[in-house]
Amino acid sequence: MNVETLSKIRLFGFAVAGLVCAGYSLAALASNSPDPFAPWLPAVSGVAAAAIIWVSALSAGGSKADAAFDEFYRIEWRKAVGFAYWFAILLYPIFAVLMALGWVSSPTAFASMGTASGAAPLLAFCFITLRS
Amino acid sequence: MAKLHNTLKAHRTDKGFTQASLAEAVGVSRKSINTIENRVFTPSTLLALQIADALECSVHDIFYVKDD
Repeated sequence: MNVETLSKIRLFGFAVAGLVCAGYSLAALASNSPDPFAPWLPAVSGVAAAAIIWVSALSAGGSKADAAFDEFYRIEWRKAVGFAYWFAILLYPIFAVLMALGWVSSPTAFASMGTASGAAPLLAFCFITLRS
Repeated sequence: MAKLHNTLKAHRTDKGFTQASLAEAVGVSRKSINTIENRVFTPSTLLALQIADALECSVHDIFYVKDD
């Protein structure tokens, strides 16, 4: 396995886990339910993505894994995490308003905010990587 | 305002490197070399020195500061 393939597997893993988490968050909001579909799916998608990336890096070997996770990757990941930090903070006032208006219950807010916060760095990384 | 420019592409092709082969020589991804050439990414001092080493020239031959 080469560096490019490993980078693509990482991007695919982040995208799938991010989309599952974002989908869960939006579905929870839309249905005003904390479990719009299988509640274990976001966690399993994240763990599966991590496992696939880890096994791929292991099979590629140390030097290729180091190249795939080089300083440019770390800069892009830092940007994604920076965005996700402010996004997660922004969710609090948004959901405070939704809950104050009685549009969203607190269990739904917990499920939606949690999965949205999980999706944010993963999808932000995909967006930043595809743009650069 | 002063900005970092580079002549990496010219030096790389002069030495017969592709982006992929230079990336392999310095232990980074091809995308890192591509984004340095396109001035999207400013490399660390360590990576700049490794690139200069691989191309057998000085960092100053590849990277320079110019007012935009």
